Amino acid sequence: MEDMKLDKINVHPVVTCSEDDSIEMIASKLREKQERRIFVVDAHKKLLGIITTTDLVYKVLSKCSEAERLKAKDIMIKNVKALDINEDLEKALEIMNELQSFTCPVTENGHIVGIISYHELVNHVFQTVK
Amino acid sequence: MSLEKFLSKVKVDFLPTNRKRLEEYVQQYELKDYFSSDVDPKYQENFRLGLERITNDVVGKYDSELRSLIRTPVAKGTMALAVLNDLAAYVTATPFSGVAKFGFDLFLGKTATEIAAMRRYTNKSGDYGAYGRHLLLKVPRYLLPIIGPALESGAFERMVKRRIRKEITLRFREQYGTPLEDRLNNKMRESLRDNAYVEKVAA
Repeated sequence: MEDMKLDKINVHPVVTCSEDDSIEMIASKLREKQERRIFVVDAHKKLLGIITTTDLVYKVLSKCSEAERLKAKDIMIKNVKALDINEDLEKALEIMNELQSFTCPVTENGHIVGIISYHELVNHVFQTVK
Repeated sequence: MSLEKFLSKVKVDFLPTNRKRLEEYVQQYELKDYFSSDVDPKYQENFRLGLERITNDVVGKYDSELRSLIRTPVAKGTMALAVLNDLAAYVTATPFSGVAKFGFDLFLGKTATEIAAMRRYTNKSGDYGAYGRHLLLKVPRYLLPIIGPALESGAFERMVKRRIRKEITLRFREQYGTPLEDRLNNKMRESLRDNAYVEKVAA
């Protein structure tokens, strides 16, 4: 199992929440898992949006009076660009480039599977072709 | 395909087999990654010697399919007849009488003389696809008056030359390895599923 992990690109697990979760719950999940992003999914794990710690600062802290009433769906970024697990590695780089991010969410038929990193992708490609 | 590449390919396919010309074409277009200016000249020299050896091997392998004492005169005769008829029609406004029948007779004769060479070719190359295409193209070439036999002339040799080019490229790549750029491109075209280890999704 360990060998299999070493020569593959790890699709890391992600923290998820539902769109009706409160901001307090989201913040506590992020703190508990020590993550900087949380994926908003429906009951079938279909990806609906993403919330990052930056969103919490810009969209919640700046509106302190409304903070208690805000839900995930109010602050999430919708239409998240994600790579389907059956798409090619080139597409992953395209998405990362488009998002200006070193990570890329991975889905399967729209359902969240995990997240991959630029570093692991490039490392895997060079290790396997050299 | 660039015009330059197209013309080089036509030169290689239509002119008599010349190993140097064949080598130059493969070097310039099919294996350009091995001979580009950013490749160390020391390696390039090694690649050039390898290419020369492989070209000699492959051309030698198909030598008997490239020339034949019977097939070549019949093919050239068909071509010459088509050209002469065109010229006669241009000058006198009337083509040779009965030329179509004679052209088709030559066409059939050429096809008959090809049978043995075809068998040898498919045995050596296993390239039944090209053989099938060559046979299928005979139908429109047969149906086209005058120009059909002209196109048919040398069609078999052109097919063999295409195979020679392909085999040289394949053998060279097998022996010297695919360039890193190609390997990277191929890798990037693989799906994430084939390259991923999916950890369990956290809650």
